[in-house]
Amino acid sequence: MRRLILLVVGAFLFMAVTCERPVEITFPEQEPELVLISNFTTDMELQAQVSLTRGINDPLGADYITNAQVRLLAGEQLRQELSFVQPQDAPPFYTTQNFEGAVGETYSIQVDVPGYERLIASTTLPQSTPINGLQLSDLRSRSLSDNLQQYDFVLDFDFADPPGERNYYHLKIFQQFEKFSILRNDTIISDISTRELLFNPQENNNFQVAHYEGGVLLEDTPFDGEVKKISLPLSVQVTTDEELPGKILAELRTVSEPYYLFYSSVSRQRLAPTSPVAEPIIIFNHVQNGNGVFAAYSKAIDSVAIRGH
Amino acid sequence: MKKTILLSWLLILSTSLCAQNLDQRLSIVFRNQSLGEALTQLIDQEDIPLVFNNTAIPPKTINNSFRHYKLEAILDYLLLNTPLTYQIKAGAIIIEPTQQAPRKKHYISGTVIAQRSGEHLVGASVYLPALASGTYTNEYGQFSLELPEGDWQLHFSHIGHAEKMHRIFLRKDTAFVLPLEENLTFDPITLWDTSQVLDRLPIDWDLEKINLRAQELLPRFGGEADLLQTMHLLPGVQTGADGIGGIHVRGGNTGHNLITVDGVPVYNSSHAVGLLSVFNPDVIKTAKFLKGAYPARYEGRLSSVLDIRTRDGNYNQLSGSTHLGLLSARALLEGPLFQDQERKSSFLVAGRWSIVDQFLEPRIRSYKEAQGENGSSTYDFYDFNAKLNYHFSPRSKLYLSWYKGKDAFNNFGQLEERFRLVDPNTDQLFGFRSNQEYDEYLNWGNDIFSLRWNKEVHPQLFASTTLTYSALQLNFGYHTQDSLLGFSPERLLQYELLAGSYQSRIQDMAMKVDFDWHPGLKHYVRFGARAGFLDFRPGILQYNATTLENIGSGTQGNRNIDGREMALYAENSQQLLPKLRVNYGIHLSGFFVDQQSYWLFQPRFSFDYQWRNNFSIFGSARKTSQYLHLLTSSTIGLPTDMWVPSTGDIHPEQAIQYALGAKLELKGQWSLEMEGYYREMENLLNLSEGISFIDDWETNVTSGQGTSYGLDVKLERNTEKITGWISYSYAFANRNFDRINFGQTYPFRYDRRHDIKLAIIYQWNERWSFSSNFLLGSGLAYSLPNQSISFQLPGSEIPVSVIDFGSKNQYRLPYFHRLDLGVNYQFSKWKLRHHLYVGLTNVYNRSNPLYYRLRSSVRPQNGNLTEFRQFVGVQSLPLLPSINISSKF
Repeated sequence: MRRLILLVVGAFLFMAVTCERPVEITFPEQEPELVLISNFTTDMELQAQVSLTRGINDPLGADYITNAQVRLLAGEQLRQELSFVQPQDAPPFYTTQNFEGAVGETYSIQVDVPGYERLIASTTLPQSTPINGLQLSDLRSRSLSDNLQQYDFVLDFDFADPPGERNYYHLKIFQQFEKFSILRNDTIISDISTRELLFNPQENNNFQVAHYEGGVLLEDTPFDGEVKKISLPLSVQVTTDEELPGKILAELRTVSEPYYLFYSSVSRQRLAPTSPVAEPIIIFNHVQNGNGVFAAYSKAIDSVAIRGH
Repeated sequence: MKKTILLSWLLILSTSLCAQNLDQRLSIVFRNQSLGEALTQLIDQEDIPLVFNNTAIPPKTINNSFRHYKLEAILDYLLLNTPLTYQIKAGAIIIEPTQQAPRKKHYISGTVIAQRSGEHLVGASVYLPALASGTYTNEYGQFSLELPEGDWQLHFSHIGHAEKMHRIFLRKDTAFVLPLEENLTFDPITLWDTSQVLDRLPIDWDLEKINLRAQELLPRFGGEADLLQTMHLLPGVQTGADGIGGIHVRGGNTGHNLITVDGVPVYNSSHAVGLLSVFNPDVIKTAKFLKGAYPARYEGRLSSVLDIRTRDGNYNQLSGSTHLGLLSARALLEGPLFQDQERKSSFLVAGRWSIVDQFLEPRIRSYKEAQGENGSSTYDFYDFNAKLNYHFSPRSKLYLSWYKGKDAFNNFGQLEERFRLVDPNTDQLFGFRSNQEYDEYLNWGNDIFSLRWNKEVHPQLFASTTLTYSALQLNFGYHTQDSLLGFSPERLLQYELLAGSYQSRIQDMAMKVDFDWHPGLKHYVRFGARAGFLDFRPGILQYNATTLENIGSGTQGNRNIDGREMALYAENSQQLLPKLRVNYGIHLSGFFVDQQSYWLFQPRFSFDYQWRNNFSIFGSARKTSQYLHLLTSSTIGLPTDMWVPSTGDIHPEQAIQYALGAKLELKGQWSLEMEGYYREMENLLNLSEGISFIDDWETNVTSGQGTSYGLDVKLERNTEKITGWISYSYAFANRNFDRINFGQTYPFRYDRRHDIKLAIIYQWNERWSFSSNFLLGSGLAYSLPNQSISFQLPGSEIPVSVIDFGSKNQYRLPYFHRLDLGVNYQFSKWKLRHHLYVGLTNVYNRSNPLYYRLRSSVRPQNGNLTEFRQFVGVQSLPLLPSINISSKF
């Protein structure tokens, strides 16, 4: 719908400026710059991806760096040097070994790539914010066809925002689906898949941005120091002869400011309608001598099941 | 030595001289001479029969040259700021001391009108040579003076009209109507009154009187004389390429300009994204543009005021005009409403219709046909003005005016394709028919209405009571249908119907009363009040989406907001010292919205110090505010820009500006004017990054600050042959918003560092004139894609590519420059006056970029389909010829 509306305006623009004539232009060549992308939390290894930017006229894609020297520091102390990992079907990355981040600690990352200035970025691992409650209400189910069932419900969720400080969150909601088969009257769960809830970018505002991968980024300005209650009207469709609705997982990430600013700017740009006359969306950068983000977060998880309600 | 020189022989020589010889034109040069020497030179060189007492001549040095000036103007200049005056007795011009002021005082009030049409003349100079002082007529042609009893000469002058000296022996309060004879159109153009020494009585100094005559002769886009295009030629006024992007004055936003027609605010001032203004040039009587000081009576915008007054219509006879150009045709009819001796009524109707669609629509239809599509696009605009005036008495007048304008764009098409595919599994051939239809419209328009009653309450006090209504409405809608039908077996494979409409509106209704009070020659007081009601409906979207599987519909929109505004103001223009004039005033306004009230106190001050006869210094300090905000979601200013009010959470925008300037009158009719300024703005409102106009604006705006400063210089020359100016602006402007550019200060898009503008008219003879514009300016600040950043988070299956723009507006578009030429031929035939204009816009076809965009295409590379992107600039106006023919009767 947004795209259509902008098409109307764009068509008018074309019409109004009927003398438009595309002109090839040449801009100064931009030397490729290093890009560092790394998020980490308390219960997982720190992984960092290093790549190069590409020119604006080049084909899209990343040129990953495989010969970087990546070091993690806690304060001024070197914690460890990250090792390189090349998965078969995924981009390469660098990872720590047996690393567990400490809440409140400030970590720095240094990336050295021959021919480039050292990348430096720092982040502090924030205190986790617990989920106070996660509940389902108004659960209704209806049959859409012989083997398709729809569950409509409201997911109520709340957490207490610590007062007196600026806090940022990434709320992620997942729905599990349990693949099953019936063997001798026994139900065998063969697989559990998870789908993440995508939020509508039309609901974006200054303090809430739909994340492009799923979930929503929140800034606590409107609810600083208060209990934040979120009610999400949701629908889940289940193929009844193949799967069962599993748990609904809520993951509340308490994120650092760079995490919020980077991913909200990336999400806004990716989900914004494209128009040649739209104001640009600037991508946040807090990596010295390069681009990207190095951001810590802590998380709290809770779950609730549709079955049993 | 005898103290008295009686030049009696001159009396004999000049017995044939009569009063009208004061109109004779002379060319004379005074080089550092005393006043006595200058007068003697007039006698010796020009045989002027002057009689004067040498002992009464005060010390005064004259250093000036006059070319083809009236004797009267030269004498006025020589005796300016002296205790002397002159009168004609027995054929000689007697220079004598100014009469002693009698004890009793009386009022002179009156209305200055154009002789042929009866139109009231705004800003006509009413000058008293004996006192070296005077006043101006107000917006309704009225003036008032309080003078001692006695014999007075009043000198009246107005641009485009012959000067007139009116003598009056004041014994009682006197009121009269003074007609000034129009200079015929074919007369050599004079930008300002030739007797500039008499034209230095500004009530609103530091203003640009936009010359409507120059507007007709200067090069015009599409042959359309246009007020805003002429404004773009003034220093301190910025715009995008060729006027697209709105007007930005001294680092302000386009919504920071108060544009009023007969005192009513206009919320959309342009057709065709800024290429043309909505103001029919035939209807405009005067246009004042204030960007430095502006008096307390103006309110509601931070940057500038464009005060447009429309013509009343011809009180004396039926007359009219027609124009035909490449873009539009227009016609005007005016005349007395009732046939009566007293000439107390008039009407004026004028309309303009675009004809550009006649050329564009076939071109676009052909283009679409070449793409295999049956459809086209159309664009039309029109505007209509009507004005009725009725004078109940010379002291009570009623005016009714109405404007309606609209732009309409429509884009439609239908594309049908038939194709066959082979099912690889069965080798069976399937036929398909794909049908796509779309129909889109976008239209917007203004409605402006005013009813005004002017009443002379007292010879010193005029009152003007006005009811106003101004509205801007935007509508657009779309309807698309997309279906895929399989023939074998026949079944509908895909169907999608999308339809929607969007509306946005602002309505402004107000009542105001303005008073002009003339308590004496040294004071001109204005005061008044305004109360208004504003209704905002910033945008509501209704949509339907139907597919094979689903039918959806909904409404989303912003809430209606009602605001109430009231304002009080008072200002005084005062001759504080013989060489120092000041204007000071206060404006107090209140705005009530969302159970919240805002009260703002806005002091204004300006001064003009006449240091020497040809050199003055002026300056101003002003505080301004506005409760309305124009939200723009594009870089070029589209009609979808949205007016929104201050609310409980969104505070009024405010600015403080300081300006200091000087003006120097040079030899050869040159004048040099410069003004430096510094402005701070706060609570500016902008959409946050990534937000479009259909989103909920209240939760997606960010407020911030702005600073602008710079220097505007203008060198101007007005002679009978050559008229024009060259201006240079050196300016800085920046912005800082919490939610734009991550709170970092960035250059304002219209932060144009250097800007040179040249406008020149050469009047070859009465029929032919040639004109040219040349514009050269630094490129606008712009965000260009720097590079692309791609990544895929570990554990994620979604690769991400985003564009890195670097810091906002860190690049500059290339320098903008453009040369335009125009030729005017004016002639009379069949009792009509005709004006043929032929011109060229962008003579050397400069590719000035309007915007840049990334064009993407998918091509195979190394066996894979790969997306390639190409950066292209889109040019604004190429070389365009233009022609316009007009006829007046």
